[in-house]
Amino acid sequence: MTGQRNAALNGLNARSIQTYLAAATIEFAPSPPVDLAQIAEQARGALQVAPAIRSSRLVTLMDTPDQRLDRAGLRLEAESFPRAKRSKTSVINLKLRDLTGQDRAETSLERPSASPLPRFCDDLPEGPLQDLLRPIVEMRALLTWATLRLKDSQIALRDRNGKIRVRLSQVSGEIEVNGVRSQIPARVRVDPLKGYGANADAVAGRIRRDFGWAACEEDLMVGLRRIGMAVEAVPLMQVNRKPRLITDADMEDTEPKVALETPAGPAMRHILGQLLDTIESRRDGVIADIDSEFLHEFRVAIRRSRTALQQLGDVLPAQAQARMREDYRWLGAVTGPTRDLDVHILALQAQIRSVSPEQARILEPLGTHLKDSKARAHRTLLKDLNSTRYNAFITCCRTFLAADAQGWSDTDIKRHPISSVVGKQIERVYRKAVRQGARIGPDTEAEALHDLRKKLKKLRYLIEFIRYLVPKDRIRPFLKKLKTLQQVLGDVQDLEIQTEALHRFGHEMAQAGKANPDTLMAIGAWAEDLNRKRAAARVRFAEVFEPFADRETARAFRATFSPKPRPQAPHVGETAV
Amino acid sequence: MKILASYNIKGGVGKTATAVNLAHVAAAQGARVLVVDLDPQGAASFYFRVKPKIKGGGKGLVTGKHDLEDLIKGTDHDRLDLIPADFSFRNLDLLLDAEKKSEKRLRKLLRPLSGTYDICMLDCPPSVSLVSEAVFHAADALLVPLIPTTLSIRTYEQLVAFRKDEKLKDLKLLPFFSMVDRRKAMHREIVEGFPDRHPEVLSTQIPYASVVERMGVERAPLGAFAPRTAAAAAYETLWADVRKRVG
Ligand SMILES: Nc1ncnc2c1ncn2[C@@H]1O[C@H](COP(=O)(O)OP(=O)(O)OP(=O)(O)O)[C@@H](O)[C@H]1O
Ligand SMILES: [Mg+2]
Repeated sequence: MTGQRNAALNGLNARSIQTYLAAATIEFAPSPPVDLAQIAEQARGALQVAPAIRSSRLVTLMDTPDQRLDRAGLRLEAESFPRAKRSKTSVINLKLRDLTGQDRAETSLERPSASPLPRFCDDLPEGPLQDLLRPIVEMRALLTWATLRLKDSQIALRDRNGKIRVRLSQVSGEIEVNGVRSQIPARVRVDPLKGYGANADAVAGRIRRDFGWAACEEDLMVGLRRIGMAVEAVPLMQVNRKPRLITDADMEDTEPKVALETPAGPAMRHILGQLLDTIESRRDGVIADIDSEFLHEFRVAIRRSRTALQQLGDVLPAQAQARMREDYRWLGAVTGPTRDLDVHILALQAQIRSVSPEQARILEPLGTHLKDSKARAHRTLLKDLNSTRYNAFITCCRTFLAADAQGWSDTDIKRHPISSVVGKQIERVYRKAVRQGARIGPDTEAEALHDLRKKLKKLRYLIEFIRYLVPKDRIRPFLKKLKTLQQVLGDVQDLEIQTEALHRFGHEMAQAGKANPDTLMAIGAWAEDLNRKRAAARVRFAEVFEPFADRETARAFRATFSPKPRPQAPHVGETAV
Repeated sequence: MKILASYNIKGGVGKTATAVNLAHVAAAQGARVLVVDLDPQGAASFYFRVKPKIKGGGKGLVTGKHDLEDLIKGTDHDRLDLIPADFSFRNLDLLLDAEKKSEKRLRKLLRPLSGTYDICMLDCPPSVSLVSEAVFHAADALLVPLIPTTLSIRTYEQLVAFRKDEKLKDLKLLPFFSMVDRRKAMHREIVEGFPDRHPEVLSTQIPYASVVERMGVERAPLGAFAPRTAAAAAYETLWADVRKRVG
């Protein structure tokens, strides 16, 4: 196992593990290994060889649980060392590089020794690094996905004035991912100094000539990432309970995929199974409260499952129906309060970023209040997620979903293609939504808009069940209209909820004696601002509903989702069932 | 990027020692630092063992034909780079004179480097000249080493007056005492009385110490060959003082 990984590592073409000094670093993979001093003596030309300096470094590689940096072609390295000898403060250097090893931004911060690395964007010092990371990372946590223990050995080549002209170094060490260590093959580097590139070229030239090594082309980090992912695929979560990074495969699981012609019963079983996998894979992250997205995705999977159960109930074994419906409803309900507080906290963080430092300071007590409330809600949630009921729910679902379970294809409807069953349902929900929306005038109660929002959520999930089966260019214009409408309805409801919540928080804080007048006034002003935004969204409703409901859309919609069998429909996705 | 200049009209007061040692301290603490040796004598370049010669020379620099980046030399120290002196910097005054808006020229020249460096340290020659004026417009702060003598104090007061007359209100003056010999009564008197009239003075004093002279033999900043000496410690505290003032 380890041998295989090492073989993979050795096969990598690496350009540079770290280009701290210059982008033009030239790197070689010596084989067989040669002592650095010997290389230096051979390649020095007219320069003088200084004694080797050895050091070791610990570099942490960070990414979000869903690897947003990797997706964006970036990597984040953290290196932490004591401020001075025997100092109680550490300096943490953070570097953001692109995959060619080029520096994009860096920052450093001081922390008491042994304190954890910054976890969220807001924990980073203001500056280019934070600015670059923010839109990519958003609310996600930055987790350590690998640790590099590097041993550096460095030899300076000096001119007659004693000036260093070029450095030679050898980097070796190991990478640790989820407790599994792998050897990093040694690399010999020629690091030029600014303004003395000619010396570096000459030295590299001699190495090429005398040792017959070719310069490496690919950045070692790119390879390390691959090795890291291979290691991660080992289900280490059971071993150390630490939430692992979510892999690409996990991500895709959040959007169920089934083949077009799959009979509805087995297809449903597959969809529900995938959603249950998502729920289970997010659970540890929810429990550890890594970041708000774990719970969010957990809940989306619950809502999708509920939609499937409600809308496509006919294709479920009868005895599964009632029990699963009830349990999913329960799970949705118990996760609600924590999610609500997450949403309020995220909103507050965004607000704090948009106001002056003085205003931000005034809002601080609200942040504390929300964090406390969240911690309480989360404790309650933990009890539910560790309860016998939760475990029974999972067992029960798994039993229903098990491959040999009876009743997934014992009626006609369960043997119909999933596309036609879902398609029919999509059409029905769409028609209902259009009718419902048409009744909404400028003065209609907000309640009606909330109902419509719910309906649209269902519509969206239903479409997502089969979106891989429908040609993208056909579905995209429709989805765009739907999303815009959902956004406006979301604003109408969420901003109302948020305004009410702000008032409630204000009362709670005042009662507990945790708020001064300034804070309460700031909360009030913010609530008013939200209320204005809500009113604006309410006015926009008619404008965004119209294109969603017009005839042309309805016609295109019918053509796309019509349950009529389409003999030459493309066969996409897997026949997993 | 903060631009700091080690400046005094008087010669031999410790300008270069200040520029070189503070730059080294700042880089050792993690800042990316560029030293620009504006003195044709090339003392700062000498301390960093860099040959004071540039192809194209000062002329290219001032008229902007040279990409400033091309002139940069990496020193032996991490994060610490240098633009070496050129003997043709001797002509810098004449060139600046010929250029329009020459006093803004240096600032404009350095601007492209602001993403690459956190600190730019200018080591100035001892003279009243156009170079000085360009420096006044380019720098965020002047570090002014003062030997505790009455004459030194008078020159400093001239500088204060000049700053006021020329309306250089964005330019911070950071005077501090250098080559202080506590055994000399006059040194003690001046050092103690000065803050009453000039509260802007930095509290750190650099003592007179022969190890500073040894920099010329070692050709390296104090921190590199004598880190545990009182003088090296003094430059470290001086840098902490400066950081507090320029943020
Ligand atoms: N604190 C000190 N103690 C003892 N000697 C010092 C001290 N500071 C500087 N010197 C010595 O004094 C001489 C002048 O110092 P330095 O070159 O730093 O001054 P300068 O103001 O840059 O001079 P110039 O005007 O010629 O550029 C040098 O030989 C230096 O070694
Ligand atoms: Mg000098």
